[in-house]
Amino acid sequence: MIKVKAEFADIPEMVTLIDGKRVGLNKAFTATVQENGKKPKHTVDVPHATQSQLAQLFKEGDPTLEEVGNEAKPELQNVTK
Amino acid sequence: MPCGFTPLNSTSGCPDNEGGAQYAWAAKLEDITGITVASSQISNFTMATTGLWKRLEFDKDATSFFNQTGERINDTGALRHNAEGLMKFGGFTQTYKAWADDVGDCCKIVIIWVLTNGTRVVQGIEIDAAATGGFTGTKSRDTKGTPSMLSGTSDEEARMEMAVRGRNKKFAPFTTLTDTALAAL
Repeated sequence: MIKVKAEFADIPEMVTLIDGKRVGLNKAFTATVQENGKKPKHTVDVPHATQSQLAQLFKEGDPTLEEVGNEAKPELQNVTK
Repeated sequence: MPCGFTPLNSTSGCPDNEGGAQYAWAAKLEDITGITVASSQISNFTMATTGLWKRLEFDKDATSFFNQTGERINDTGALRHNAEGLMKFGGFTQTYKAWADDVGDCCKIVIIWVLTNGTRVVQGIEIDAAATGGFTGTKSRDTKGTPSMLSGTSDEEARMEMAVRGRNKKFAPFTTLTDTALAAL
C-alpha cells in the first residue's frame, strides 16, 4: 500500500500531476485558482488520488509517498462453540 | 558525481544556440513540497495546493537572460555557481509597483526560465535526494528577486526590471514539465 509520508500528511491540499491531471494526495478538495497569466480566477475540483495512482506516482519517484507493508489480516477461523 | 570526462562535441548534432529567454514560470520555494526526478531532470512537482505557478510574460527585446557563472573560492577552492536572471517589463505603473513589492517580500523563489532555444531550466532549487521532498533551495545563497522601477530619461524606456539572483552548488536543474502541466499544477 502506498501512502503519504507523515511529514506531508498535514498539507491538506497537496497536489501533483498524473497523466496530466491534477490529483490531491491527502484528500479531494475544491480550490480557487487565482489568475495565472493564462486563465482568469476560477474554481477547480481536485479528486483524491486513487491507490493505483499513488502506486504509479511512487514508482515514478514522488518523494512525498512511501510504501507501507500490508498489514496481515487476522485469519478467519471456524469457531465451534 | 565522481570526477571524469566523457566525450563532448558541439559540432555534431548542432545544438540550438539561440540565446535569451522567452518567458518564465514563478513560485515560492515554500509552496513546493516535493520534486520527482527522471534522468537527472525534474519531471514533476508536488505543490502545497493548486494554481501556485504563475506565468511571467516579459518583454522580448533582447534584454532577458539566465546566466550561471562558475567560480572557485581563491581560484582553486570550492566550486559554486552565481545564477542570475533578468526579466524586463516595459512601463511604469501601479500594477508593476504592487507586483514588485510582493515579489520583493519573498524570501526564496523558484523561476522556471523557458529559454529561446526551448530549454527549461529551474532557478532556485537543487536536487537533493536525501533532503525532505528530494530538493533544497539554492545551497550557497538563497534565490531572491530584486525588482527595480526605472523611469529612465526621455531617450530611454520606462520599465520595471526584476533580477533574480542566487548561488548554487550545482548548476540549476532542467525540467521536462510543459506549460500545460505547469498551468494544471
